[in-house]
Amino acid sequence: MNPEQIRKDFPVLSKGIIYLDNACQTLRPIQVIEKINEYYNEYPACGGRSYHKLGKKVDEQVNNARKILQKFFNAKKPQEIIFTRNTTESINLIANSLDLKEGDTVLSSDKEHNSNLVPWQMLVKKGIKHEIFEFGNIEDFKSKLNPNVKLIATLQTSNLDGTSQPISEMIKLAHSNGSLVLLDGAQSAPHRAIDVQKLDVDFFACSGHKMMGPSGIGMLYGKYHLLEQIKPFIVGGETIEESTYETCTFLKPPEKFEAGLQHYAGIIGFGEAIKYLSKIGMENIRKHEIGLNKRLTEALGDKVDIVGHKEPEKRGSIFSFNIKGMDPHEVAIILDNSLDIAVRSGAHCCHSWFNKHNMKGSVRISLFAYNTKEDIEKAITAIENIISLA
Amino acid sequence: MICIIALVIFSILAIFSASHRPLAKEAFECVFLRMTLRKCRTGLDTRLKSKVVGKIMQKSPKIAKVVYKNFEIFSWILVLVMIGSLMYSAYGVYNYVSYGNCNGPGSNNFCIYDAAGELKSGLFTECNGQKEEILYSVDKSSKVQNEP
Ligand SMILES: Cc1ncc(COP(=O)(O)O)c(C=O)c1O
Repeated sequence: MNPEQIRKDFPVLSKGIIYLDNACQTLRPIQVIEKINEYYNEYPACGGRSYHKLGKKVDEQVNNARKILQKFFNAKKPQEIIFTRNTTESINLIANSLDLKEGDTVLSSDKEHNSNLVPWQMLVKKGIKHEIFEFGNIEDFKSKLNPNVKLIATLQTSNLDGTSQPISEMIKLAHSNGSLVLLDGAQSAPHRAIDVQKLDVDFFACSGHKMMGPSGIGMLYGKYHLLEQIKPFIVGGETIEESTYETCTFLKPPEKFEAGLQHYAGIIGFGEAIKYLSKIGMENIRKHEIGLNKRLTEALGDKVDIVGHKEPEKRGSIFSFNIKGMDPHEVAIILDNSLDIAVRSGAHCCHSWFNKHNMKGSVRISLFAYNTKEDIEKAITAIENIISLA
Repeated sequence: MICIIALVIFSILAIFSASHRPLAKEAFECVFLRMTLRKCRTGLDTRLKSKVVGKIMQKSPKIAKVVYKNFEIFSWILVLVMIGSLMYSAYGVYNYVSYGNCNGPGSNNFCIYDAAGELKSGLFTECNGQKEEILYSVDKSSKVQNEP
């Protein structure tokens, strides 16, 4: 993998910016931008409902994108891939579609993004329990399992510090308890190969904009028989086979869940982004990111307070840290204004975890395929300069 | 302290630009909180400080460190300079309204508030104890040329 070569596909990088906020959203290669333009320039029509040539072309492209995603995640069939707006919508879909009853329990970790916390808090009002286990702690996880636990809704990789949970083992334990598993894959899908069949996960959610795809497009994978059983979340046009004034018949998945006119440009662009990622190879991306993270850790490990594991291999693409005596936002703004280095600061939508640990937040460097050693050396110099301010 | 300067600057910019209005509002909130002996909640002061320090760091990390460590003192100095120049300007306006010249009664020196930009009778400077005329009136010929 040659990041210098990859960079040439990202027009915004030619402006000299050092983009290290990839956990929030990644940049898009020209191939994805051109694919989106292709939709608007060549076949900007409705899919699914129009029999003219343009409509047919949209259908063809959307189906193609669905197949690309199916292959990438190794789903059994394309119909298991539902297009949503983002990970948040995918999680909300399950929270609202699963037939959870009073007394049922949903288990999540203590490091969830608000997107995988708040939808479950909403259900508590309906008498559903939401319990928390310690992220990555199998013993604690096991101790929380009981027959009332109907769903494990947890993340694979944390956006806060990049650490991952032993998810295969957790899925096995959950299934032997009779619980379903919804994985928030927002931070795992962009950085490692995901095989939903091998994982045996029931539902998997991720976002296109974190995977070089357009914003406003996401995915929910679900085992087909489960998708058939659960009720749709947002309903209306495109989800219905037939209706009278009183009743309606829903289409089969995935249409049952894709209400209203879809974000066709986004779907098609998402497919192109996945094609691009596949070409680079997920294992190559992972190795490259760990290499850069190792260098960051080696240079700054003793000078800053790292959030999460000390070993870079366990943090993958994320280097989350604090400088003693400085506000994380202060560090991020100085990085931006001194060397055009874009990082994220704050609680990264994980307020609950930071509150529990009495912390205000952190500065987060998140890496991707187009980041180079040179980017990292510049970031190290800038951070060392900032440390000397404190 | 930096919020007071921000309030003045952003308020002026807000007259012309809608994008500066939220910033002016934020600065006002921040100044109000500080005046009532509370901490600025909006983080505007931290943001401005970091922005300034970041820009300086581009040129010199050493100067950036001095500014970072003494930012409150620098802010106070800037506020005092700003108050001083505002008072001086107000005094000039008062003189202009009262005497037709911003430099006080009996002065014929150049006045920036004079829309015509004309000198009443010349600009003088003291040199070796002697009054020496160094510049006289505006260039009448160029003025004629500029007229339609
Ligand atoms: C772990 C995790 N889950 C969920 C989300 C929400 O993703 P989106 O905003 O794309 O819905 C994010 C976004 O940063 C995330 O990092």
